[in-house]
Amino acid sequence: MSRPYEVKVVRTPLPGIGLRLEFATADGPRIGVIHRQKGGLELFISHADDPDLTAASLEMTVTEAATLSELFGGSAFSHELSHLREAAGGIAVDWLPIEAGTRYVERRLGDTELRAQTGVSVVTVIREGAAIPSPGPEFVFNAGDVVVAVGTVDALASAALILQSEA
Amino acid sequence: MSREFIDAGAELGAILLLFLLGVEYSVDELTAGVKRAHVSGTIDLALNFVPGFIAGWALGWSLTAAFLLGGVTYISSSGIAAKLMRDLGWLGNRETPAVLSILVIEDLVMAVYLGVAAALVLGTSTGGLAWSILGAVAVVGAVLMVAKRFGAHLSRLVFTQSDESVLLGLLGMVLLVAGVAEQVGVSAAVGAFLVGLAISGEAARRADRLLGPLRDLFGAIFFVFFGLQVDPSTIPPVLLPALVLVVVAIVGKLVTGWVSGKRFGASTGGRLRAGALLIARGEFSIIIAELGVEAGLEPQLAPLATAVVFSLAVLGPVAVHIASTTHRYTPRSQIRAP
Repeated sequence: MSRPYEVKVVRTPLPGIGLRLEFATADGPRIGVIHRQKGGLELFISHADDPDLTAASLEMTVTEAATLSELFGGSAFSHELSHLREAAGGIAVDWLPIEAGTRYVERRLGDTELRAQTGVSVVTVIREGAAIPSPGPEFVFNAGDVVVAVGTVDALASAALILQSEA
Repeated sequence: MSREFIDAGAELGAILLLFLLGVEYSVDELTAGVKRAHVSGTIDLALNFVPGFIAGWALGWSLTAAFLLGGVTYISSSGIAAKLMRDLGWLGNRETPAVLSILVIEDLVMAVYLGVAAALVLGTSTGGLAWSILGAVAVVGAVLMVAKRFGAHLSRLVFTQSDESVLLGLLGMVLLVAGVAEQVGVSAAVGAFLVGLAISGEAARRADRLLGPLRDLFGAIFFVFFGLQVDPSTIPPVLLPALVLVVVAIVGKLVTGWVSGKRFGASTGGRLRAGALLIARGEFSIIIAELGVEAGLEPQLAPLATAVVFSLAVLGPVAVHIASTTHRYTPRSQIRAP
């Protein structure tokens, strides 16, 4: 009777602090990441006995977080990404998903004010496997689109935060 | 230090405190906060404003002084609560968004409250007062609308320049709007808070980095200034009402935290922690009390506010410590024989 365990990510805005993304593990404790408005990330794991209480938390830089996720995945794709990051002197490329239920679904690229707010450039949008190069400000997002953006690591982190904001 | 310097420094400190409070939040966060926590926010207002107001009335104070005391007991210290949550590494806790939404709502209420308080202190007639309240609500609403629509443009204006011009530009803008707000009778503090709200994104980060140290410096002068005005010999006569208010204020916030934590799905431990985090009163209670002292309203207001706020600022963190240690759930599997 065992069903495959589904990971359900819960997003919680923390006013004045940032955005919290977390999920409950099969064993009970929650694990998640807090994206700070002022930049930076925090990893936390809740108590095994009291899932409401944080047991451990750790401040991480974006590079450390990327390295940690590489340790988990170790895919050719993420290795390529880290090479790119080193090669271009702090400038990186990131793939930022437009998830269903977030604010910019069915809104224009111009509405996100990504460049003014963070300084990243949107190079391409990937929709249903096909790339749409150089989208203009009038480009309208669908749920499931993936935005390919270029910028500094910190700017990309802020851009990810903007694109994840709630509707 | 000359009296004028302390006066001006204190005023600047209060303005910067409110400006950077506004910078912390975006308009979207405020509206989302109200949507998510208006019930617990209302309970918070009822349980924590009303006791202060009634106490002032029972002591035979004027309506205005009682209204100010209500504000002093109402507003939690977002500075102390945020610092506690960060230092304890509690940002991942289940009750954290519950605490933060209460703080957001309190700050929004504060924007309107200060406008009304400023009008009351000026001693306007009932008709004039109604206008001032309407005016305060309208100005807050209008700025929120403008900030939502044009905030990005305003932020961009500030964003592209060197640190020095950003610092001077921001400070100039804040002081100008604060001054105009004071002239219109909406209170300088509200003006500063609203400018803060209109600034978001990268500009907000820079505002915080550049003006943060100035706020800390002039904020400290503001507290020294307030402390200088309180004669220690006036505190003992108000100790009894202060004690009663401290107890009521602790219970009020514990209930608020319990209700809010429950709505966010926290268990008993989380609800207790949420309440304990809200107990501390601090910077904004003193700003409210100072409004009354400045107008020479009620000689007992300053000593009573001092006694209540400082007791709660100390007891709040203690309560958080107690809540974090007493209610730790112990599973049977981990109980060991002695």
